[in-house]
Formats: sequence, structure tokens, C-alpha cells
Amino acid sequence: MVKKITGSQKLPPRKRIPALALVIAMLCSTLSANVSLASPAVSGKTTKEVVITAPDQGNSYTLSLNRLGAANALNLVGQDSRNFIDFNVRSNEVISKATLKILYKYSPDLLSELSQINVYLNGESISTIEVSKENGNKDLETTIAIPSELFSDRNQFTFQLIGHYASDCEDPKSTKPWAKISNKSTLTIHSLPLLIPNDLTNFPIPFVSKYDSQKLTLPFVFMAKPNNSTLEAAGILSSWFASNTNQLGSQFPVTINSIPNSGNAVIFSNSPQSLPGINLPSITGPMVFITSNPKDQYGKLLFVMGRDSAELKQASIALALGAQNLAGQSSALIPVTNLPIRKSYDAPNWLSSNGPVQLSKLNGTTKPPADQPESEKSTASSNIQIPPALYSTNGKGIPIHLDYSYQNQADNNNSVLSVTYKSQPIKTIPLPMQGEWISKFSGLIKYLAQTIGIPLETNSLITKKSTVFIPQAIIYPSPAEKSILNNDQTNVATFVLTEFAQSSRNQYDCSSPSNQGNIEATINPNSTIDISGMQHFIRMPNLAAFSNSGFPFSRLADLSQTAVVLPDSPNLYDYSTYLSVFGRIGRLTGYPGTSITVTSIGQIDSVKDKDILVITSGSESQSLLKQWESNIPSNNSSIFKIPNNLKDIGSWFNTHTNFDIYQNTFIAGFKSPLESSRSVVLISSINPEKLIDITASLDGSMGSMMGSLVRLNEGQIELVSDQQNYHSGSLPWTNYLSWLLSEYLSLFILFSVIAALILSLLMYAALKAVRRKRLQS
Amino acid sequence: MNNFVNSSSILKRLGNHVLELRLWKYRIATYSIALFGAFAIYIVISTPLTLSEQAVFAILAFGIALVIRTLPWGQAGIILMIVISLMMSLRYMYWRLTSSVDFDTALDAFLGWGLVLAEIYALIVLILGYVQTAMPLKRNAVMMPTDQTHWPTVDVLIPTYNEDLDVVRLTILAALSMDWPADKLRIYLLDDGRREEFREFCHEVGAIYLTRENNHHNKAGNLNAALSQINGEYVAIFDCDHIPTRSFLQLSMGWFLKDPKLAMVQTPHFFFSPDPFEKNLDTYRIVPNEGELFYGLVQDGNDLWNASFFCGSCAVLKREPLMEIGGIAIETVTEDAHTALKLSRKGYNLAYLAVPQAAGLATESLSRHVVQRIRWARGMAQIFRVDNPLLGRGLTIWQRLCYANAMLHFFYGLPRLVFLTAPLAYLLMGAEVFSSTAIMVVAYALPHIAVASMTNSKIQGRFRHSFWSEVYETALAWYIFLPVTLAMINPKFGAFNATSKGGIVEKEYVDWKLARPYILLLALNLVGFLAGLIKLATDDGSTSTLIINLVWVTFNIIVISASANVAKETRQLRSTPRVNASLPATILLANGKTIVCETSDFSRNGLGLKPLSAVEIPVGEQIWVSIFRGDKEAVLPGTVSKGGKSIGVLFENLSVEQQRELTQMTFCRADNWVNAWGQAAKDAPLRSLREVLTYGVFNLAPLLRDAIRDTYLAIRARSNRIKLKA
Repeated sequence: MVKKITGSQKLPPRKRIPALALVIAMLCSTLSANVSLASPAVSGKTTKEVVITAPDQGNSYTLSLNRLGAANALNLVGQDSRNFIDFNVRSNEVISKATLKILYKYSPDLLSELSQINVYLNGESISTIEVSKENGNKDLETTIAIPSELFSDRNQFTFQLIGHYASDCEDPKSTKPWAKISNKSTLTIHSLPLLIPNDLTNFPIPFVSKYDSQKLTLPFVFMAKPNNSTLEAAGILSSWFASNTNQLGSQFPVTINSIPNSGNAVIFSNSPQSLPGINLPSITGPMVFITSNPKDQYGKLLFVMGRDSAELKQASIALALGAQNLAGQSSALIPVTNLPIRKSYDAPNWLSSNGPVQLSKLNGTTKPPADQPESEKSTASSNIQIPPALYSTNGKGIPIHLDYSYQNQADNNNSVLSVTYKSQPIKTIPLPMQGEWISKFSGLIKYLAQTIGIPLETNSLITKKSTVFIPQAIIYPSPAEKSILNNDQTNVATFVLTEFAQSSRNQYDCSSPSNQGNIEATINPNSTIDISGMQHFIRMPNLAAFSNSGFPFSRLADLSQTAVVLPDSPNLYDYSTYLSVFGRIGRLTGYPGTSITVTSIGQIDSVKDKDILVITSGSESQSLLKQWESNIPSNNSSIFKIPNNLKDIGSWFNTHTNFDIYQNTFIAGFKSPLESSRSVVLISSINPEKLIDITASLDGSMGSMMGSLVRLNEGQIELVSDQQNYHSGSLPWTNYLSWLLSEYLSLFILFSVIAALILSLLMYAALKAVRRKRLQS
Repeated sequence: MNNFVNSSSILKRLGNHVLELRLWKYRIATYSIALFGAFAIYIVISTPLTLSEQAVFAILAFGIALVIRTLPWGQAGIILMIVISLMMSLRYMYWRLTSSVDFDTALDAFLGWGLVLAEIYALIVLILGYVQTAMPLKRNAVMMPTDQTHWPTVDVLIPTYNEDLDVVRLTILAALSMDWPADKLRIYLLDDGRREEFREFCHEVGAIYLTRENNHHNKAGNLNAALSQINGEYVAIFDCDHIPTRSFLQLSMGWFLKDPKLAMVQTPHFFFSPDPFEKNLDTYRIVPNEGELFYGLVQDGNDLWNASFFCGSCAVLKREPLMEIGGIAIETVTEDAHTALKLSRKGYNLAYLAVPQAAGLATESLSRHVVQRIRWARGMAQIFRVDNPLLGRGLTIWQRLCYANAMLHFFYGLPRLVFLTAPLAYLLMGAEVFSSTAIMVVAYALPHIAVASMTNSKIQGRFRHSFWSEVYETALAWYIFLPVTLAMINPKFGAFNATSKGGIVEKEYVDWKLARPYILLLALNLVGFLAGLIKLATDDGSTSTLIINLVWVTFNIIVISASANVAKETRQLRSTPRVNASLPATILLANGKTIVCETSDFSRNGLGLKPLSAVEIPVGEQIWVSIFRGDKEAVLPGTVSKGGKSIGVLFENLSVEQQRELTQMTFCRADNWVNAWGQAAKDAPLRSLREVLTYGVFNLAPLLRDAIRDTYLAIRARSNRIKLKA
């Protein structure tokens, strides 16, 4: 994760003269906003008492800096500028060998004898890169071998530029010294697995940890073909495991009665039947049991057990809701009798809609820790996840009431605080200095002040308030706006302080020390973001909301309004897709789906009052597809409608007609044919193996998912239909009318014409009457 | 096209059908429909649209307005346009106040809110203007009964202070010539100058000469002093340079007999000489002048709401109600408007008759024009302070709105200056007065401005051409701003300035003292324009914002340049302006030969004649001229001042009786002014824009050249003086 960016990559090159940048990274993703939810504390402190390594079982992987969280190249600008990359080591491995391949570039102005690029790992220098004039502005590459003993569980790489362009007089704010570390630079890790004891004390470690640098793949094993209740138990756990992962996501392959050849697995068992090589304790009720994988001593198996599938589900809920003392190799679980009642849109990961939320109350910091180096004073970060389906009735978006302070430097009046969200600029707030006029006459004033002995205080702190709005179009981009937005999936809002050099100050004056300080800005902790005044209202179908927020299922975080419908005879891919989809939803909400309902197509009428996720594949899919064929928005020929965006005009004439729902892998959203206030998301593939692509596509790596029907084709998402023909949520009726009119411009125009005609007629009649009366008097 | 017209007339018929529905008879139905309409408008103005939606909506609204403009729907079409305009303007203002006032810095906020307030002012005046002009009453004159015994007695009051006898003489003679029973008509000259020659003249012609001991309250005091000495049922008031036609009383008195509550009938002020705008911009009789909008449209519109104004002259008042309110109001310097307001408060009716039945001289130089407008503006502000029409008893809501708008209108000084400098905020100071994207501002503001201009163009038609309001207001903005502000602070601030008329401008010159603020504004805008171009070239700032501000500043430069040119006084040698007229006339030469002619023009002491057959008459020859009106003939001795195809005749040393005859044959003709009234071409906004552009652009360089030259000359003159002293 990038903690801080020093420099100005957000600015057009022409203006790249800043000195400091302040970033609050609001990661709207796995890093849970609030750890206080009822889950076992996930601790980073791992006990590694047993260090039996097996040299033959080495594992090797390569991670780019981009993968480690650097969305852009790391910019280093200035005399002493640093940038950071975090990297975590899995708890069940130890690093044996690591190399860092750095792709970089630097300014041709750097003086080779005074400048260098230093690379540190956890504070220890691991490399010093010399610079030379002739290599300036060239793409360079170097590979550093890193001593494995420098690694701990959580690590930080520091890149430092010591940059000088002149030996005597230098403008500290000059951008002449610069270097860039490409985010395509890679870290290659060779690791050895760790043997750890069969103990539940550190659970869910080793099965999952937020600090993993890789995507979680956790096989789920059923002892026999699972019934609905067992599947619900599995879904609860998959969503809970996923909610404890990093943002790279998770997947849950499913096997029946066979454990994987290596690695970890979760096994659901409601019979005394055991597996070869494992001694299961007798089942006395809901319980868990941990043991080593008989096929791989470094792998662990977690047995979730109960005497029947109901107890299995109790075990899952108890595990997921936490508050159980787990220790030793097996633990009995106390069934949770009263499940917490969730309200709409109250998922722990999401921003509370109960009132203004202080940025400081959110996970992350708005003020840097005191022990940070000087250049990092402006660092701040905050993690926010915006719930789906918010509707701003005034059209402005979500308000952030910023309270910020910055230093008053009378001679520096060109600084701005820019706010961006998803890489889209939202607002640029100028940071005007007070007493600017003093500086205009500074010589005279200072002279006079000194003569009569008045102290001149110009470097005091200025505190200001400003409200910025994250526009709805940026929070939930519509298909039409997709092309303008650069498809930034990270949902990062940034506050960047940029200090422009004054245009008059072309020549830096070394003799005047007053120019030297860099301006600093802080986002004060009482800054708030407030969604309490907003309505919940969304155009449907909306696959973007489904993929980004799990909507509509995630509306109630415990999934109590959600039903999963599987084929009457599902295959393993169907199961795995179900677990992975709800794994993703659990990761998004930060809450396990404790009240999820699983049923089969045959019983679909029993869940008609819920939002339904249907997963079908192969030949099983045909009957349901046939039944709902007319509901599936398989073409784009919607009713005639003036496009909401001029760019849409093309879509007027562009109607996909020949999409064959029986021969494709696709996700479709539509209004539930069973209950008009409910929604259906249908995941279907003619080829069951292709279902894996569906789960993979949800994280946005294959392009953004939008509209009402997308097809997966050769690893890419293709928009087939963006027809939206109903809505979810409600608005006060005046707002609803406004919404209706703004959604359908033709309706708005018709309404306006009628209003104009009525008023004109009334006015005309009234005025005529007045005139008649006047002339008769 | 035919189909289109057909369908438009079908729509019109449909509208008429709807209007004839029984539904309207039920108040509750009408009110609920009105309520629904108001609610619908609220939804229309408050629904947020995306940029492209707003653009589509705006283009459609503009297109519809453009079509309605050409349809022969009369007042119904105008009202439809008004509604569309209100929609776009209110929508703009709603957006403006909810989405574009989130300012970042104190400077932005100060300038931004300043602009918003100016815009709110403009919007209020726009809406009140629609109230005033949506349905002009257009009343016709009511004929007097044939039996003259029931005709009331009328006292004609002609106040004067320092005007020449030559000017006043004509008015008195014309007043004496009015068609009214002689025993029921008395002409009073109220001379605050207490001049003996005036007394003698009155005595000679049969008018009554009145003076008083002091000059308290100027014209109002003068009239009040006379009112206490007379006893006619009605009082007709003429400024001493407003020459009534003979039909004045017969036409304007009829309504008094029909409506017993009627207390005043006002007729238009018509000018037979060009005002400084017309003269200096050379637009006489081409572009409607500043006053035409008021008398042609606003007064008629006010009349619908029983709120037409008394304008101090060319009006008849009923004496009894006038005395009931204590005579002419003396609290303010616009006694006329205030008097009307007081009559309204007492429940009396006021009427406006749009038939020009008197004519006068316009102010002949900008400085005098400015002084006059300052007085009006100050007076209106005073009324707003001391007797605010929005407050107090006795007025209908519509009267309040009409009066309020008449006063608010004069507050345009500051808002106009704000609009003239607003783009400089961004171009020179980098202040963002809209906290929105430039393109969004355009999408909302452009339809607001465009549809409102088009609607006003449709309403104002012959009485005001598009963009000329800009020029008129700009030229006066600076000057009325201060007096209005002072009067709002304290109604007593500032002094009364009488406007005296009749004079000559011997040499073309630029009234720099008056032009100075505009030269400054112009210079600022030019600097802003250059700064904008430089910013555009160096890519400093948002291109779209720069372009919008540059377009705005360009428009400002053109308007200011056109306005500043009014200060360039053109030559006006003839101190007695001529009136074009074709009257039958004959010339009788000393040798007894008669030549049949037609007049081409007349003035108070001369005639232009066009002989029907070629004839050569030497200059200086003494001749007799006969002028005819129906079967009446006046024979007058004159001197030929110009020979050739059009002969100029100068009358000198006419006897009083001959002067009376000349006046009756010329200025007193009933149809003199009616034909020249409201005869400017209908407004064509693009043509008007081209005209203003032409004035603005082509006069810009000469204006700047003159400014630099005269500044140089002034500096040299001063240094020469200093040298001489040394």
C-alpha cells in the first residue's frame, strides 16, 4: 500500500513544480473499515516456535509493485524524497531468497557526485543506486538480491532520492531532482513452508490472513453431496473467510470426499465417517477440529463438524460470529441462539448512514504518526467504503465536510488541495495565504516592524472548512460514463496538496531564507463524510452495483433477504461459484452471510420473496433459461428513449439481437419474475468450467462489469445489454417525480411542455379577464 | 410550411376551446389547476439534469420559442414565450443558487455573491417586467358627447422657470388653440422666473399669468400654488415645451365621463427632436429611443393593472382627488410618479391613452439627458424609501408590483456595472465567480439569457430593439448609481436639477467629463481581453472558462464603446428643430404670382416648401405663404432663406395673431404625431446586434484615438499654463 506520494504525478507535466503531496488513501476494499465487528481478532503477531523447514519444498512467486499497491510509478522529487511500499510475508512460510528488480529513470540534471537513489528494507539499506548524467532520462534496470534475514512478517521497502542539481544554491522546491520507480518493478520471492502445530489458538491463521500477499484459494470439502443446509453452512464460512482476506480476493474450489494434495482445506463433516490418515474426534455437537493434511505436512485441514447438517450450520455461524474461545486441536462451539438483526445498508465495511462520520473514526490516519520522518509530515490515510444504491436528491453527490489546516506563508500563494476519487478530479481547493499584501511590501514592512520592534508572525496555521461532493456519476459510473472514466477499480479518494511555485519566482534566491519552508497541510480529524441525508435508490438491473458492492444481496449484510438457487443436480463448479460469489460479497460487507438461504430450482417458489442469485451451468441450465427466457435482457432494444448522454446516441441504433443465452457464459440481472419488488442475478454457462471465469471477473480484472447482461468471452467482459427497466429503493414522491423526469428526458420535456401550456392558458385567460374588466369600468 | 401554419392555428383554436370550457367558471377548478401548474413549474425548475440533458432541453426550449415567435398568435404567443422564458430563467437561478455558489476563497465569494445578487436583481426586474407588459391594455379614446353643455371646465397649467419665451410662446398659443368650449377652458402660465415679458405676452394672447412669492418645491410647488387659485373641475398639465394638439382635450377627457373614479389620464410624451442617443449615434427614427418603450409599452401594460403613471406633463387630472391627496406630491423630486401613487392609494383609477397628443423637445445633449435621468432615478429611489409601494394601504398586489418595478428599474446602475466588470474577475484576478464548470454555466445561463431576450424582443417589438437597452442602460449606469444609492441611504441627499431645453451644439466635441467612467471601463475591459488572450495562448487556466469570459468581455467592450460614443456630441446648429410634414401650401410672390407647394417640414419660425413646379425665387425675397388645414387658411409673411428645389422660408416679426395661426396650422394639427409614433421597424434581434456591433466596433478606434489626443492636448494646455504663470 502506498502510504504517501511525494511529488506531483496528478498534475500536468507543465506544472510539475510541487514540493509536497498529501495523500489520504481511502481504500474501499478488503481492509475493513472497522475491526470491531464480531470476528476473532486477526492478529499480525504470529508465533513461529516450530521452524522445521523442508528445503525441497520451495515455493517461488513474483509480485509487481503494482500488485503490492502502487497504482502509479513512485515519484521521487526534491532534495530528499521518499516513497514506500509494504509487503507482507505469509504466516506459514519463511523467505529463503528474494530479489528486487527495479525499473527506474531519473533526471538528467542530477549531479552524480551528490545524488543517489537508496533502497531500504525495514530501515536497513539494501542498495544504493548511483546516478550519472549520461544515463539521465533513460529507462534503467537493476536487480538487487535481498538478504532473507531482513524480512519479517510485515515489511516496508523505502525508496529515497537524494537529489541535487547544483552544488551551491538550490531551490528546495525545485523539481529538477527527480526519479521514478516504475510500478512494473518486481519482487521475486523464494519461500519455504513452515511447520506449525495443530492448534486453533491463532485461528483463522493459517487459513487466512489479511496480510497475505496473494489471493486466497481455500478448498472446501464436503464428505458427501451436500444438502441445502450444509451449503448454507459453507456459504457462511466462505463469506467469513473472505471477509478476513486482503483485497486480492478469494476463491473456494469444492471437492466431495477428497482432500487436496497440498495446502489447506476446510472440510464439512456431519457423519462419523473419516478420511484416510485422519483421526477425527467423535462429534458431540457443533465443533471444529484442526489437523495436518495427511498428503502435505505443511497444509492444515479444518474440520467443521456437527451431528447433522443443522449442527453444521450452527458451527459455521458460531465460528463466523466469533466470540468463541478456540484453543487446542479441537473446540466445541456454543450455538448462537439470537442472530444479530441487521438493518439495511449497515454492513460493517460500509460507511454508516446514521450521521456524519469523522474521517478520523475510520480506519486509517488523517494525521501522521509523530515518529515519521520530516518529509512525511503530511501523510494521512483513511479507509472508506461507500454503500451501494445511494441517491443524492439534490444531484450533488456525497458531501465530505473537510476541515483542513495549512501553514500561512505569505509569499506562497499558489498551493492547492486537490481531491480526487477513483482518479477523477472532484475539487481543487486553493489554499490562499493571509497577509499576502504584507509580502508585497515585505521589505518595507519588515524594516518598519523591526525598527519599532513588532514581531511579524506570518507562519501561523490557517484552518478552513470546505465541503466537497463526490458526484454520483463517479461513485457509480453509468455505462455511458464508463468510457470517460479510466476504469479505476481501486475506489481511492485522495487529497493531494500541491504547491505551485510562483511564476514570478523563476530564479531562486538563496540569500532570502524566508522562501525555504515547504507548506504543509493536514486534514483535521473532525472532517466528516455524511451520507445520512441521502436516499437509497438505484436503477436496476445494475451489474456494476452487483460486482462492486454485491447489491442487491448485500443490502442486508447477513444475507437474510438472499436466496441462492442451484440446479437440482448441481456440479462442483456450481458449488464453487456459489461459495466464491458470496465470499466476495462477504469481503465487501465485512460480515458473514449468516442468514443465507440455499435452495434448488425445483423449490424456487419457496424463496420468491427474496432476492435471488441463480447459478446454472451445463445441461442443467437449459430448463430454467427456457422458463425465464423472456425476462433475461438478452438484447438492447429498449423502448424508445432520448439518450441521457449524447454519447449514447450510438446505442440508439446499436441493438444486439443475436445473443444466445443457451450458448454463452454470462451474468444477467433482471426483475424477479416471481415478485416484482425483487431482483434476480443469473450466472449461467453452457460450460461449467467457465464459471470460474465468472468469479474471477467480479474483481474487475477483466474490465468493468456494468449494465444488465454481460458476457464473458476470452477472458474479457463484453457488455451485451445496459437496459435498465426498474428501480430498487424508494424516494419521497416529489423526488421520485424529479428522478423520473431526469431519467427520461423525453418525459421531462413532455412534462415541461404540458406545464407551460397549462400556465400559459391560465395566464392568458386571467389577463384577458382583467383587460375586459378594465375596459368596461 | 403551410401544414405547419395550419397545425399552429389548430393549436390556437384548441386553446380557445379550452378557454371556453365551463371548467373555468369554477374557482376551485381554476385554483387547483393553477396550483398544479405552479407545482409543475417547481418540478421543472428544480429537477437536476446532466450536462447533455440540460443542453438538449435548452436547445428544444430555444427552438420552440423561436417558432412561437413567428406564429400569428398575438398575445397568447407572447404569454407562452413568457412562460418558457420564466422556466429557463428560474431553472437557471435555481441551479445557480444550489450548484454554483460553493466558493473557495473570500475573494471568489465576495465577487461571486456580488454577481449572484446582480443576477437576482435582473431576474426580479425581468419577471416584474413580464407582469407589466404581458397584456398591454391598449385602451381607445372615448368620444365626448355632442352636447357641449355637459363638458367640464378645464384649467391648463403650464409651469415655467427659466425657459425662453420663444419656447413657451408656442405652448401657450397651442394650448389656447385646443378644441374646447372657450368658456370652459382657461390657460395659466405659472412663471417661477417672474419675467415681465411673459406677463405681457400672456396678457396679449389671453392666457392667465400666475406667479408666487417663492420657488419652494420647484415645479410641484409651482403647480400647487396655482391649484389653490383655480377652480376648474379638471387640470391639464403641460411642461412649457410640450406643445399640445388641438384635439388633446377632446380625446383625453372622454374616459373621465365614463369612469367617475378616474383621477388621471396620461398621454405619451412625444419628441420631435432627437435625443442625444439618436443624435450622437445617428439612429433618429430608425431605432426606437429610450422613452418609446415606456410610453409605447410599459405605460400601456401598467394600465392593465390600473397602475399607469402620471409623468408630469401631457396629462389631465381631476382636481378634486388631486386636492384630496394634498395636491402634487412634494416629498420627492419625481413629484409626478409619487402623485399617481398617492391617487392609487386613495382608490382612484388612473388611465393611459397611447395617442400622442402633444410633442416637445428632447434633451439635446448627453449631459442634460444624464441630469434628467439622475433626477428620475433619485426621485424613484426616494419614493421607494419614503412611500414604498410594496408597503402601506390601498394598493392591489399588481399595482404594488408595477410601481415597485418602476422604481427597481432605476436601481440598474450597480448591477449593470457588475455585469460590465464580472468577466474581469476571472481574467484579471483569477477569481472563480461560478463554482461550476464553464460548460455547465453555458448550458444553464445561455438558454436563460437567449429565451428572455427573444421574449422581450417579441413583446417590445417596435418600441425597443434588442441590445439597445444594453447601450442605454450602460451609458447611464455610472451616473444613476450614486444618486440612487445616496437616496436610498437618505432621501434628502442630492439636489434638484431642472432640465432646460432648447440649445445648440456648435462644434462636434466629446464630453470627456461624462465619458471618463466609460473610457475607464473600456480600458479595463480591453486589458481584461488582452489578459484573456495571453492566458489562452499560454494555456494558463481552463480554456472553456477563458473563452466564455472572453466572449462576455467582448460583448461588454462593444456595448461600452457604443455607449461611450453617445458622449461624442454631434453638431446641432438649428436651434429650432424641424418637423417633417406634407401640408398643402401656396406661395404668393410680390409680383402676385402664386405657386402651389407642399411643405416638407416646419418649425416654430420657418417652413420648408417643395414647389410642385420648378421655380426660382431669390434668397431674401419677401413673400406670403398660405397654409391650409381643411377649409381654413393662414396667410403669413415670410422671407426666403433658401432657394432651389426646396425653398426655405423664415418667419420673422409675426404678429401674435399670425403666430397663433402658424401654430394652429402646424403644431396643433391633431394627426401630427400619431403617424410618427411607434413607427420604427419591428425588432429583429440579429439586425439590432449587428447595429450595436457596428457602432461599438467601428467607433472603438476613433474613440480611443480621440481620448488619447484630448488627454494629450489637456496635458499640454496645462503645462503651457504653468509655463505662462512661470
